[in-house]
Amino acid sequence: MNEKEFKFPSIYEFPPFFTKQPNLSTYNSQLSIWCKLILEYCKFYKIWQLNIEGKVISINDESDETIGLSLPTKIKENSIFENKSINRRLKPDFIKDIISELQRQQHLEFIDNTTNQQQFYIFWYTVEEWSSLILQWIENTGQQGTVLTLFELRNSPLSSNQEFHNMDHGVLIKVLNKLVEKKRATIMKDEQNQIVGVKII
Amino acid sequence: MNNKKLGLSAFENYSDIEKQFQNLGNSLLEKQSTELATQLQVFQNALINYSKEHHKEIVENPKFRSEFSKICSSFGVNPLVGNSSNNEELSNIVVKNDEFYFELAIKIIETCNETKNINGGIIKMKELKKLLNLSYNMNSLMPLNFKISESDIIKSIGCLKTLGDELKIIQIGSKNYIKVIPQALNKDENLILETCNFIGGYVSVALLRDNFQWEYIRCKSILDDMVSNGLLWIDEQGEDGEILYWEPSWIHGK
Repeated sequence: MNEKEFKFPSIYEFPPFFTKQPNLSTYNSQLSIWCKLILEYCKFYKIWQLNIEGKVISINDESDETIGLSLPTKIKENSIFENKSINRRLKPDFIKDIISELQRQQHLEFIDNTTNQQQFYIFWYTVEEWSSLILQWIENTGQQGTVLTLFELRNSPLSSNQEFHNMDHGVLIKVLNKLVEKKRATIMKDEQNQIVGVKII
Repeated sequence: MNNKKLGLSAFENYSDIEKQFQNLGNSLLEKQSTELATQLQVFQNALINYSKEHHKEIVENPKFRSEFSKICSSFGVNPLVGNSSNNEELSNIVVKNDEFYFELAIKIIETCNETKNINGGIIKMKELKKLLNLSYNMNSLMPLNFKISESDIIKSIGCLKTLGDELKIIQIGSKNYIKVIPQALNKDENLILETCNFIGGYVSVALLRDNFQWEYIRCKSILDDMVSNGLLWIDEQGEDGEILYWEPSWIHGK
């Protein structure tokens, strides 16, 4: 087995997995398997944003270049909601169910909640879990009270073995705001009101 | 002989002495551990020989047997290592005692209940065996290459007979299944599951009508019934648009 490729569970090859099951208890299991699958898939490829069609949103932002690059083209073009080898795909109403279930578990948030609910963040760790991971890293490396730029948090070699390395900018902002909320961080902004640095205590 | 150095050069001496102590310590430790290893080996061999010599007694006397397996596990000795010829026989003696079968029975019930929402409470023997072996292999107390066989499962389920026949082995076509639901399968349901296995995992209304000359309404009502019992999954994306009814054990491949 190639370790660079995600190994789908065998149910992904089972055609009825792509049809909403009429039996409620069957459907609940089906839904939870789907949610788990999506989170594992995104975690494996470090995918932070998906659209409603199940495709990875390509990121053009200069500073985020490193994120999209490492993904194989096959992953960028394929939809997680479709299995071409058995010619099955999820219908929109089922996708909606999955999205709201993930939302309920705090593993998903729409990028733009007001106008178009087409794209969303996938938190394979919830924002809460992310914030403790970062906090733990800061404590373990003795950086409490040090001012760090966002670049340092995400891209520095110091954090290269951390799961939040190369984290999506938008997700990071959410995590930092969570830390501010918990009174564990102070955020520094520039003239354009953009967050540039953070001090974590 | 006096090689005691005085003044600054005495410090040099310290590191030399320290090194010598360390060397001595290391060689002592090494000697001790090889001795222990030999002792362990001897003990292991003795246990294996003992189990061979008293084979009959171990098999016949359950009290003796459980004491013997207790000794094996408390010493962390695995009498199965290095004894390939009657591995299976030994593992049957040492591990598979009555207690083991009761424990296995509990594991069977747990596994069946965990998968009930997916398969409606009917699980293929082969799949159950796979799941059980998976959970046993994660248990480090079990001997290496330890395997649960179908006859173990059958024996274990036999232990639970007194609890009624909710947990039961049934035969569909040529294959064994384990059922954890109170109701029995009727003839039509049996035939449908058998056909699924035969054709490649699924049936449809047309398929049943053509093969068994059933009326449309009979096909439809029995299939819907089975779906609402969780025994079949529907697939709306079949090639010619007809709903296909899949048997859930195909989730785990052919």
